[in-house]
Amino acid sequence: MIYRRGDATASSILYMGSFFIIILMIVVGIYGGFVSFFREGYDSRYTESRVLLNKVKDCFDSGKITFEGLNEESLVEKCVLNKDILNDGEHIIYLKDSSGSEFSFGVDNFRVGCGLNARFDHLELPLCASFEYGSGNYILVGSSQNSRRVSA
Amino acid sequence: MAMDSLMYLVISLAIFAGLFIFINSYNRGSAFYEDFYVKEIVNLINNAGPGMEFKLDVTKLASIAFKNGKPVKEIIDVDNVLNKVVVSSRIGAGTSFGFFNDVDIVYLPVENPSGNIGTTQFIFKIVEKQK
Repeated sequence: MIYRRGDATASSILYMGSFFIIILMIVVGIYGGFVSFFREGYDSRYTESRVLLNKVKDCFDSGKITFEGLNEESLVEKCVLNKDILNDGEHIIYLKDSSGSEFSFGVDNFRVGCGLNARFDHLELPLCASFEYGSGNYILVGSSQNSRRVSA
Repeated sequence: MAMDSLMYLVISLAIFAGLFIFINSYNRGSAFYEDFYVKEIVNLINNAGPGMEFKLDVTKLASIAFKNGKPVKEIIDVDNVLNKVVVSSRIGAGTSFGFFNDVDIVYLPVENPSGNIGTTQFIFKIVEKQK
C-alpha cells in the first residue's frame, strides 16, 4: 500500500477528532448523570418554617399555650403538631420569654445554623423564620427537611 | 484508514444518540416532579385543618407515571401513621416527605373530572387524628 502525505494527515486528524468526541461524550455523560441525580431540588425549607411559626404563634395568641409550664407534650398536643416529625433531627422550635427563660424542641444546634450564610445553598442546613413580640418574647422556627428517595 | 475512522465516529455518535434518547425517555423528569409535588402536597396539608378539603391537579405527574407504567391511582400515598406523603411516578421508587400537622388524610384520585380528558386530580380531606 502506498501512503501519501495528504492521506495520512487527514486520517490522523479524523482519528484524533473521533477520539476527542468520544472523550467529550463520556465527560458530558458523567456530568449529566451527576446533575440529574444530585441537583438541588425544590427548596421548601423556608415555606415549612413559616407555616410552623404561624401555627406556634397562633397557639400563643389564642392562649392554648403559655411560657409557664411549657413542655414538649403540651406544645404538640395543644398546637396539633406531630412529635415524631418535629423530633426527626430536621426541625427546631425555640422560644424565649421576656424573663429570659428558654424552651427548645428539636435540634438545638439549628439556632446557630439559622444564621449561617451557607444556609441558602446547602439543603442540610435550616432555613428559619422568627417572630418577636413587643414585650421581649421570641419565637424561632427552622427546618432542614428535604425529600427522600424511598421504595414504593 | 480515513474511512475506518469515519465509520467509527458515525457508529459512536449513533450509539451515543441512542443511549441519550433511552435515558431521557426513561427519566422524563420523574425525580424532579416527585420532589415538587410531594413538597407542595405537604405544604397544603400543613396549612390545613380538620374538616378542610382540597383538590390538586396532578396531570403532569400522572402523564409521567403513565409513560413509566405506573398506575395513576398509586402515584400518591399518605402514611397517616408516620405522617408522610409518598409520591411515585416510577415502578418501585418514590419520594417521601413528612408533614408536622398532626392530622389524618383521606385521599382519592379523580381521573378526567367534568369529562375533561387527560386531566387527573387528587382530592385530599383533612380529618382529626385517629388515636
